[in-house]
Amino acid sequence: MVKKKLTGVLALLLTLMFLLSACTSSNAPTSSAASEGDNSTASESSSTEKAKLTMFHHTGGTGSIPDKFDYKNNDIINKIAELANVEFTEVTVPAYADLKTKFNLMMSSGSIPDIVIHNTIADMNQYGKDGAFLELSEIVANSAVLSEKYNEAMLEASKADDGNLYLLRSLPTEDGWHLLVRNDMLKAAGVTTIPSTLDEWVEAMKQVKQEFPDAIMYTSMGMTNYMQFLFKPFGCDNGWGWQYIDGKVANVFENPNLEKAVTFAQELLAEGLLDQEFATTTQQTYTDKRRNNNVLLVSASLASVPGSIDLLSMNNVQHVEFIPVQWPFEDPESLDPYQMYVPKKVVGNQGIAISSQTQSPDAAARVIEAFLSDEVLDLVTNGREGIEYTVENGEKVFDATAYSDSNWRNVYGVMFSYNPLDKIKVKGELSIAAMKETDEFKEAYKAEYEKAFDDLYNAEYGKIGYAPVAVAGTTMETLIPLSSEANSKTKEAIAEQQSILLKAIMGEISMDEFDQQRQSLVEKYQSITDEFNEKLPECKEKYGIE
Amino acid sequence: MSMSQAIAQKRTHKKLEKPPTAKLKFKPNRDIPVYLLILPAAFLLFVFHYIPIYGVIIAFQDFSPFKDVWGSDWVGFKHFEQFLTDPNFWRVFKNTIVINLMQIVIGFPIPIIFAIFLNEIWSNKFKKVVQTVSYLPHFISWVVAASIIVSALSPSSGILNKLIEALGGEPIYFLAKQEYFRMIIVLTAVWKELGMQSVYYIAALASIDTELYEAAKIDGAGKIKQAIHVTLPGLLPIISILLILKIGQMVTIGFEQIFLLYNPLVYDVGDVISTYTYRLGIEQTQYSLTTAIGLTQSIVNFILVFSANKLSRRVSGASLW
Repeated sequence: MVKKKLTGVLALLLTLMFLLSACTSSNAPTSSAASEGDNSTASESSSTEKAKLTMFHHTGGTGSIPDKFDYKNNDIINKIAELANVEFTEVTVPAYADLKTKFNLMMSSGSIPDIVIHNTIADMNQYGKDGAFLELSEIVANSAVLSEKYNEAMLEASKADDGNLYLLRSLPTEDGWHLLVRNDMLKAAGVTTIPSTLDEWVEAMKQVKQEFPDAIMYTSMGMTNYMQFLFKPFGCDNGWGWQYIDGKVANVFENPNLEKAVTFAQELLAEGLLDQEFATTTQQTYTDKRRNNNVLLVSASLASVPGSIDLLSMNNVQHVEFIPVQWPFEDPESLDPYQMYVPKKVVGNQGIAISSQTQSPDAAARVIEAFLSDEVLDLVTNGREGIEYTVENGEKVFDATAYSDSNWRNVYGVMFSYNPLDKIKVKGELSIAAMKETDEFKEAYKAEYEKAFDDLYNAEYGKIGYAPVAVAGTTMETLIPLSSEANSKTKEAIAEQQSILLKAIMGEISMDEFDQQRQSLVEKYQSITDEFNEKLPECKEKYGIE
Repeated sequence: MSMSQAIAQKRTHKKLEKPPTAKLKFKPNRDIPVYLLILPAAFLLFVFHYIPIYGVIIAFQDFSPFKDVWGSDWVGFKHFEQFLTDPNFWRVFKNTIVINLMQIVIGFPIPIIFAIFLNEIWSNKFKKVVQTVSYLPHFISWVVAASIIVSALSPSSGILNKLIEALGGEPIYFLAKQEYFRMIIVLTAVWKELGMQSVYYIAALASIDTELYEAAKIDGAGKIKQAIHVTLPGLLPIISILLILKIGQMVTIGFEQIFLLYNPLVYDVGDVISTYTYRLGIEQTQYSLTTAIGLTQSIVNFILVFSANKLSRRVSGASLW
């Protein structure tokens, strides 16, 4: 009897425990950036009038951020909070690889932080049209800082296809995508002059492969990222998406050179000059390959040169000499300048928006102003006085190691598109200075790096104006806002393009089949091409594109 | 008396011995604690499986999280029409069915055979070791399992290709070849779940009356005959139930395994409904469209499980309800 009663009591307790735990809402901070051991009492008492805000932002792909880094409490975010007179109660910063998923899941929950920073403008505008974000025209008009930073063209480029301003895009940078080469490997293989034509590059790759049989000459993440070396020399951009040629927007699959590019990739693969496993390489394995193998060529943004130096230097790879070089073109005379050079940018690729649910739109606007402030630009570019640099005779003297160690500062340079050109150059020089090499080596490398940087800049920048559409890295940049339906279709189209290209390169389909498939893809997604071209005259007029 | 007659008699005998079922009277002191134990599970089932059902409404709307369920525009069967006329949907539908059929034909019998073999092992120690080793992969997440599989199948450093090379063959880029992909999915699922799935059969084997084996032995049945005439019939009810459940999942396939192993080269044969809806829902934020697909999947699965149950009851006498 006693046993039965005891069982009953235990069952009741168990039930209550389950029900209570199911119904109790957790007060634990949900932010990955929630500060541990944060002594908030003092700050709370001193900031009772400060607006409390929440924020979602991303790392911009910035590498080497320390584990358990506190995004909510550090010198730069605290400066932003101080400038805007706000207190950040929750800051969500997903891992960059999960950014898109986390962003869409957060948005689908319908519960949006006061400030949202993301890098997929078309998606943000779609959410804006659905009512997620405030229309910012009035906020910009009432803000001296924002009105000064954003001219009419920049505001136009930030607008959705319904004509509303749901976000502000980051300020433009000059950073483009280029070829980065391990000059030390070229030298070791006896290639003393940087190749300039495609044939010279292939020859150099063969020589390096002979010298370093286990090295990878070139790799990419399938067709998703870093694959430009296979297509750009033929004027085919990334091989997928849409491009601006001869005054029109065309599906890259319409480009008559695409077949040549695929054949080139097939040849590289057959000769062992293209990583045999490039098709299934993920972001992580791509980084691992670069860190652990001698990868000769890398397709990357100019801003990633310093990161490339740091990556290998931190892995104790000796005598690394990464330099950016110009794209080789198979037949430069036949190409449109928009197929070869880095276009000017009206705005950057990041977007900042204010939630329509916010209780403090003014405070949120002040945060945008703070992100755009000279103080934040200085902190991101130069670092903190006494830590990253000291001032001697009125000049900033940098501590190269401390500068590289606080790479996380980049995260807060969002409104400056993370990488103003000056910063890229300085950062590259400091990365070289932080290398564990002799002074003599570093001096020589620095001179080569600076020359390569300047040569590249002079050759590829400032040659063309704004591009209505362009592809950089993993995303399409467009000054033409597409309708919701077309925007959604572009993603499926790009996935199909990437699949067809991979199959053709790997020989899974014949060139005849490739030709057939690319023609049917062009037809299938003709409506997107048509929409681009219908809106093109307005875009040209707005931005003065020839 | 032949072996089959003996077994049949034994079964009949057992059936007769079964006590008649009497309607149990509800006794609060005895029954309430038991019901209370069920309550948390029932509560969770209700919260996570019944309450969300109202969400299927958004399949008939152009849903926006910011207009809420009742504020979004009603569009009737627009999304059903959209996916049913999309050639991509039929491609992923076909892949889902083909992979599931392969899993039934190849993957379903393997745990049964494994359990029967395991049952025949005399050494308890060895049996336990084999069982434990076979369970282990079940507890590895697909993320880890996928990286093991990718490494093992790597054309440059994978163990399988090293073996092929050692035997004089050329390395094969398994994960990039359409002809291998579905089989890789089926076999890796078998590897991961073999131990855990065999548990059901091992439990069922333990409940088979040992007298049946003795009777079979007396009649001169060897191991194979015992397995065919005693073990398999003993396993039939659990096989039927698991098969019915499996058929009830014919248009559904696990997401993680495919998502982590596929790549654009094998989309034609490896892209399934779950990866397709992931792209539409999470990457393209077409919530209504993916809900319409999900609802259709559930209806088809329901019809399949219902039909399979009916068929099983008619053919083998075993059924889920």
